[in-house]
Amino acid sequence: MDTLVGAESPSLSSSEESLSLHCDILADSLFDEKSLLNFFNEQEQRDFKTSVIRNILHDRNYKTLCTLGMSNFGFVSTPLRKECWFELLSRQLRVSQGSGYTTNKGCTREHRDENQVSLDVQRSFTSVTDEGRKEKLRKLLERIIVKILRRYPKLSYYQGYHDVVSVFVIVFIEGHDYDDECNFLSLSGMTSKSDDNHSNGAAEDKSNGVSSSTTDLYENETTSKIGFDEDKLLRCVEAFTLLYLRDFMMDSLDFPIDQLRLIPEFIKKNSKAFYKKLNLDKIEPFFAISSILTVFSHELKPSENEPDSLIFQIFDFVISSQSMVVPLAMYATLIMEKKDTIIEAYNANIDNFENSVDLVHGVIQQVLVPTRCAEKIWKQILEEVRSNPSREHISKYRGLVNRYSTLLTTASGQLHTSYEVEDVIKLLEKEIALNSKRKTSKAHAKLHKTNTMRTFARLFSSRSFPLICKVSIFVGMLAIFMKLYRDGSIKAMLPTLRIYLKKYQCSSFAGLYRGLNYVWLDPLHELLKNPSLPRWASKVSRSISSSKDSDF
Amino acid sequence: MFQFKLVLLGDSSVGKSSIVHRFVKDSFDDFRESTIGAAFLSQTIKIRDTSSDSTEDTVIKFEIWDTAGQERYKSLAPMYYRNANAALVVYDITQQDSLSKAQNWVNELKNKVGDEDLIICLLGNKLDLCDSSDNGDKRAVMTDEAKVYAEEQDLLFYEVSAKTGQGVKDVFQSIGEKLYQIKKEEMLSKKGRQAASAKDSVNVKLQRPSTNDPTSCCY
Ligand SMILES: Nc1nc2c(ncn2[C@@H]2O[C@H](COP(=O)(O)OP(=O)(O)OP(=O)(O)O)[C@@H](O)[C@H]2O)c(=O)[nH]1
Ligand SMILES: [Mg+2]
Repeated sequence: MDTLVGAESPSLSSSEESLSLHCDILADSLFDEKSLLNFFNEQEQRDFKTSVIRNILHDRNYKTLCTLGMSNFGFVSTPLRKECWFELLSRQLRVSQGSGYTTNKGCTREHRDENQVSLDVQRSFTSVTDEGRKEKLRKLLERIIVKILRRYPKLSYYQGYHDVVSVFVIVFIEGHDYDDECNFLSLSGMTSKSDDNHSNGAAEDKSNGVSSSTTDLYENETTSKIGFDEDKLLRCVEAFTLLYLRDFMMDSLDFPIDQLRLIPEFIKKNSKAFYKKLNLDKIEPFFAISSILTVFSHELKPSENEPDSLIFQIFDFVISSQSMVVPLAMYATLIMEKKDTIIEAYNANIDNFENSVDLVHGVIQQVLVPTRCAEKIWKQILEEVRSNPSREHISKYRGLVNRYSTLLTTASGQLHTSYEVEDVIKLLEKEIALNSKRKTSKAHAKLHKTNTMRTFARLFSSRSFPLICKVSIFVGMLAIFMKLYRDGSIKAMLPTLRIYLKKYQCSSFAGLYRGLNYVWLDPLHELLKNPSLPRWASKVSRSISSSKDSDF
Repeated sequence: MFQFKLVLLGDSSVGKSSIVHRFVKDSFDDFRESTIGAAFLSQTIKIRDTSSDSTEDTVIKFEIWDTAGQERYKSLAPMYYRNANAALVVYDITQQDSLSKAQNWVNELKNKVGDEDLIICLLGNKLDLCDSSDNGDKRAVMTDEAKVYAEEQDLLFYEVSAKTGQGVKDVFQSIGEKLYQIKKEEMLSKKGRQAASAKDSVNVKLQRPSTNDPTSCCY
């Protein structure tokens, strides 16, 4: 994995060599909060970090680069950030030449979601004031998204993906403006009249249907590549999409919702009382959906010429730590930081809302909206996450997400891992299959509410269903049959069974299958407690209940 | 003060957020951001109570849930329309298929929400794109088509423009009045019942007022 480090660049002068050696050693602690460097002023620290990063980039010292991305200031400035992101992401996702996924292939068929892309792109970069510039950014954004979708047609686009991609667009485009520029970027008032008219026309057409504007996009493709490096941008977006956002790009929200459920778990670990107060044991954490799906880029809009913008530092951190657990942990930290305000608002509004779901969602939205732009709180959160980077280890929550999830594979926080694009595609395909299986079984559960056999079949075939549950259901059924055999009557059993079936059906409605794991273990427990059962059965029951405790 | 829950549903880009914005902030920016998940806003309006003798206005508060239009976010919708007092189902009068999406929403609401009192309002948006007599009418959904459907289904129906503001205030005003009316009747009948039961029984239970008014509730 470290073949890159120091393998090339034999021409390094000795002084450079020693500097980079030092960088390597220093980087670990140099830029953390309590570093000696704090005696220098901020600008000096930045300058120093800049030169360290330059050296590291030159050496292609991947590990140290990750460490630097996770410390104070992130990658410091936009030109550096661009290089660092590319260095990291192209390492994390390897696309070998001729693999069929190289840059110019596969952009042929229109993707089913392109219309939605265009609707969202038309509402992007709202904070950019220069109309010409905005139009350029939008065109680039649309082109990148469409290229990714056409290259990987199995991905489904979601509203919010465009926010994530716009972060990359802003970083890669900055500085490519009025200087060395090509067709694509020089538009802001400098191009010929005819070119301008042409692009405006295309923009207007979009509302009626994308076809005209997309063909237009591809005609420009060759000319627009001069100068600004669109290929690099595309490679970064491609890697980030496949490695980090894969779970979100199924055609339903099931997997993102699974991820969100980690947030209450983190909060619970921090403060059980607060967790209880907000009823997070009963309420789905949908309030976090836009933050997580967009890695905070919907809340914290990126803008040019603000290299310290926290959204960039968040991305620095996520990419360097190769972890999508980070955004979830950050969200939990955000909630914890705002705990007092949330409790206050909760108490003040307790009679305004009819139910606790609305209350909690409304309160959290109201409290968090003002924090969107509050620099200070985001700085605190970054500091917090920087000081305990691997605090939340995913392995404990394994059961909450599907086994091919980014959280367990490509963005699990395990540093310095890299993937071949083909392998990631395989993961993607498996995840899609799992997702549609889940969808059909949900539909079945709705259609055949009384068909228990199917439900059993579903449970046993579902791969995400833990083995222990399968075993326990099996034992449970065995116990039922034994009891039936002894009592000789099925009637006595029916009421309890019905209750549990009902409970299960309710919980699987609208994706609320959270209670599922418990539901099936409960009747078993009751049944096996029956003293008239033979000894081996009660032993099994004991071992099951103990493993239940450790598992959930 | 009464509080009512109101939800906006409809296809992406029909103008749900723009309508809410027009109502809450009385402004329209040409480029709204797309909604992700849902957004929560609240706004109060005044209702003139014509039936009672007092000339004082009643203030009611709307708790507004603006949802995302993309198909995949549909699975979140039940959470937002659950317990809603009114649903604004929005379509874009320049996009034919946005009406059929709206009709799907109406069906879903009728099937899933048991509440007889739920007010459903069908809203055709972007009226400003249709009035322009000079450079072509972009209208794709005829007023009558939507109106007939709305009458069949017993929905409120308006055509509005979030851009110019035309009609937006009226929609919320009339929904507010309707909701207030329902609430008042409900309270009157409850009072009646309470009074009746007070007569036959000595054991009068203090009932929690059914309003959502924080000032009248002790907790
Ligand atoms: N001409 C005109 N344009 C409008 C009007 N209302 C909204 N728009 C435009 O339509 C686009 C979509 O508006 P939004 O309010 O974001 O739509 P939405 O229904 O909230 O969409 P989602 O959040 O994606 O579900 C924006 O570009 C608005 O500028 C209107 O009354 N007239
Ligand atoms: Mg919206």
